[in-house]
Amino acid sequence: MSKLLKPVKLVVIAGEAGRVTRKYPFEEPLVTPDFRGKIEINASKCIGCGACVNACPPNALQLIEDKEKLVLRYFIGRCIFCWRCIDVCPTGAIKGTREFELATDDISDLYTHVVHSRKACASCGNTYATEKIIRYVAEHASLSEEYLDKCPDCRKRNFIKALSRRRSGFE
Amino acid sequence: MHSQTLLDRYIQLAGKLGGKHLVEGDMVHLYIPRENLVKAASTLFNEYRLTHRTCVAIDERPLNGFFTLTHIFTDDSSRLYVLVKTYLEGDNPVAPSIVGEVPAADWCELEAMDLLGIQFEGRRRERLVLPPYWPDGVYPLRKEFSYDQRLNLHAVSEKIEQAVETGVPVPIGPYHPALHEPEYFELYVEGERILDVKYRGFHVHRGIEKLAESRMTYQQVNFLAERICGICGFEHSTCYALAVEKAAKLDVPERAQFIRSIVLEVERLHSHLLWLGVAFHTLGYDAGFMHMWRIREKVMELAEALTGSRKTYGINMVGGVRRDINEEKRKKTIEVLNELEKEFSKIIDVAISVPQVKKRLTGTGVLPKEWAVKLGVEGPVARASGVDRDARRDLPYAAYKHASFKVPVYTEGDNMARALVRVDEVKESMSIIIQLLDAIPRGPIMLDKYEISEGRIGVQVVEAPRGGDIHYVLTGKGKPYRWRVRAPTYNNIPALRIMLRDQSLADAPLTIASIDPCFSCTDRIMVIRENGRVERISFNRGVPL
Amino acid sequence: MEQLLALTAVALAILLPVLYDGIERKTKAILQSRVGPPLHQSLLDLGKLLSKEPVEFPSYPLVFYTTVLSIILEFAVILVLNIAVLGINTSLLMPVAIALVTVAQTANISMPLLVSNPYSQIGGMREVMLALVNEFSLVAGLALFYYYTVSQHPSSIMGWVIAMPLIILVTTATYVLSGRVPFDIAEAEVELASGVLIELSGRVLALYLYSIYLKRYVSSMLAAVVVFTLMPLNPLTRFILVNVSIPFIWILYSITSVMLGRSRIDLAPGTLFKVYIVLLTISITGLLVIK
Repeated sequence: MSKLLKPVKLVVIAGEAGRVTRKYPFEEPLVTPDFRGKIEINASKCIGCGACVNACPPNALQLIEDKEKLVLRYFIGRCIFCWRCIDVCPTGAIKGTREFELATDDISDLYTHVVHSRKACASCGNTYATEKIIRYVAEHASLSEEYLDKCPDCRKRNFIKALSRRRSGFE
Repeated sequence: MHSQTLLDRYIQLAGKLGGKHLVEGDMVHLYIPRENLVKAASTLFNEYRLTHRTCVAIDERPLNGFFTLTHIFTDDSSRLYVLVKTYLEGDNPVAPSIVGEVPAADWCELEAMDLLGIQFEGRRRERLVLPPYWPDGVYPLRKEFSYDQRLNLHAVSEKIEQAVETGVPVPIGPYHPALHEPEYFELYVEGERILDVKYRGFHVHRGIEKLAESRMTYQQVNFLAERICGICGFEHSTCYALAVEKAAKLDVPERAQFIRSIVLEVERLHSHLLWLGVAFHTLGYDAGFMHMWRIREKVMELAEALTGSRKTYGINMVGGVRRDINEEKRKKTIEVLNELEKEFSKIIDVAISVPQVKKRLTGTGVLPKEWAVKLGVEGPVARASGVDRDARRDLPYAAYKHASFKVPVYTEGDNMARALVRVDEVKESMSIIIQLLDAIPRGPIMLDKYEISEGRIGVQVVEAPRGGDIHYVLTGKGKPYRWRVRAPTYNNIPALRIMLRDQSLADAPLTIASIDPCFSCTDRIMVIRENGRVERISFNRGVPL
Repeated sequence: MEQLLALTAVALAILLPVLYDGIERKTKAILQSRVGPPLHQSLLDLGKLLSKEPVEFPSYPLVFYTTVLSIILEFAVILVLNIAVLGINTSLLMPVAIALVTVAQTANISMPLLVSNPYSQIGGMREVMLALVNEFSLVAGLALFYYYTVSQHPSSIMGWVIAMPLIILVTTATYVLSGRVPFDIAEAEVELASGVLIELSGRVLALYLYSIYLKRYVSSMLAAVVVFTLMPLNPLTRFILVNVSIPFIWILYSITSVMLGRSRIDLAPGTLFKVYIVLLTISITGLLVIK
């Protein structure tokens, strides 16, 4: 007889569990402290190196360049919230948040831009790296001002000139 | 370790058939000339009783001018992978088909035909992966086809030829209100009895393999692999990482392997609880569905605490993991699991005793053992039909050699057996997690420096909740040269034809659900984008895409 | 006076079934540890469906009018039962009520067969098979019960004992009639994409769902009538008790349906047939003994 009445035990199970529905959005959502939400880029720390762009699997982070500036664009629509960008950023400019309520009816809300100005080369005038990256390299490596002030092409030319000067005595 | 005699027999086989061999770790590479391929496959499958996992076709023309075809077998009793490779010449390569000897190789050969244009002699030809109106002569996985190439296609209505003379066709899918993923089954019924069934799938093929070869780096493919499936994503990314680490011979820290195994078992828990809920819902017992998913919620919260996301955990990398399990999380996990065990036993006790559930699960959808072996079915489907196979025990990977667990095997082969296998596996998983948490060693979780050289092969089988999943990686420069995924449901779907024959129509959805189909894992199609929008392909209109 | 009461009961029966369905959904939700929809949700659903344009199919007018016919017939049953319970012309009206129940159910089960969709046809056939077993037994049980109460005037403990198998028979038959799990095999199976429900939309779907709620109301009412006819009460009290106990019987049925799974077409009619034959044999034997 008790075997027949086993399905009735459901009432006991339901009674012990109570009502588990969460009245979100009229209540806080259930998000643990470890949850990965969207990222925030600190514009003052970012140097525009592009490490995050290389690491991003869905290309949510992109670098857009033109003559005067370099723009880091973050598009939440493509982001998979993996936080790889945070792992690889050399200056710790990217911070992870627990925000996930990102729906909006205006797609421009989903774009974040960090604009960097590029440095003009002292000898040829072409722009190459961002100012910030040059400052970062200057702080961390012992390279002369003269070296850092020039674009890679001019540096190559100068190096070859210096080599040939040393070899033959004059240019 | 593998005894010398077993290795010898493979080496001798290669020699006898005029080929070469190479032994690398637990992989035995046999290079067999074209003419002897069928003989090799037949010996390995029928005589030595190896398991045929999949076959991989590679366009190696940029490397050495040939197309190659590799059949992957595993020797479960001695923990070996046996790879049988042939080289095929020319731009329209022809290879011998082994379907006569190894029925399990049917679909992977069709896929090689569709995607790489390798012709197989002596077998029927039909489109499997690509839609029927795909132009002939265009092969997406060949190296000259760029991944963002667009084709001008006209979709036309597809008619499936009727398999039997009589019988009213009842379609299930592809966009069925009750199904979770697109699939198309055409059941031919007479009254309430099913006479035959035809399957047309691959509606969600996404071109993952091509994408990984074209524009991703090694570390990025982890995240792509995780998104092959929404339920078993982590085991795909683990399998990929293990395959690359095996190819590059990387020595991953022990702690990382333990963390991988623990999260794999957490995933197995959530997947089986999900399946049990869905099975009860299909049977009309909605209360079982609700309560099962209520306790599954605890597993999801546990996963979020351990990895940072409820699903698509994103902690796997080539060389280790990204998140650690500290003491507090360890204690919390054990607490959650103890609670879960009690609640699970209570609910399963009540649910299985409901008379309708018992009556409808027993004796329906039977898969006899010889068919299970011939078709190479995987996972709980195989274990419920008496085939004792589990990659965690047979080909141990990650930290499974440090845990002791039982592999549940039932012999009836009906829906009830499949359900009971999964119930037992839930209990075993909980015990494995607690054992691993107790034994986890200290140390780093990620390799600092590593280098992946080109031209190396790595194969790995991982026991997903649905069965054995296999990834094959041929390394290239900075990204894989070829990546092949064969998900477990791929092997289980052909078994449906056997299971559904002579069954009542009312049991069809339950039988289909009992193999725990994961169609996203099975398919992998090219989505043609037009102006950045995704165009929906409908079968009944001639629409230019 | 009695006519007014009967008409009030029928007027209330226009909206009460919808409210009771809301209560059923809430009960189901509580047993499944959820919050569930508010009590007036079914009313809102019907309202929304009535405002939508239906997608028409070939036999649409026929289906529409058959559904309307079944609703009218159900109301007729409710009216006749109420009048009979109040004591007016009981001996004439009870057989009329039983006959009307059969006609109403015939209209109900013919509806899915009129839709030219293979899922609907399969669902309709299954419902016909189930109805063949259930309706005959329900009518036989009600007829025997009516004969018993009218000719024997039972009032003692002995009377209850003799009538017990009949009460069990009528309760089971009305439960099956109400189309709940485990016997909703016509319209809820996954592979049938919900049978007849897949083809209906908009107004006609609202009417169909309403006719199902009315059917459940009638089935609970039949059970209530049978139970309270056995008790020696004056007609007015019986009338009030019958109408007040309908929601309780409804909730009892819904709790039973939550705890069971769906049956299969080859299992359900067979089991039911065996059960009914046994109960009918016992009751006929009992009645003959009394005589």
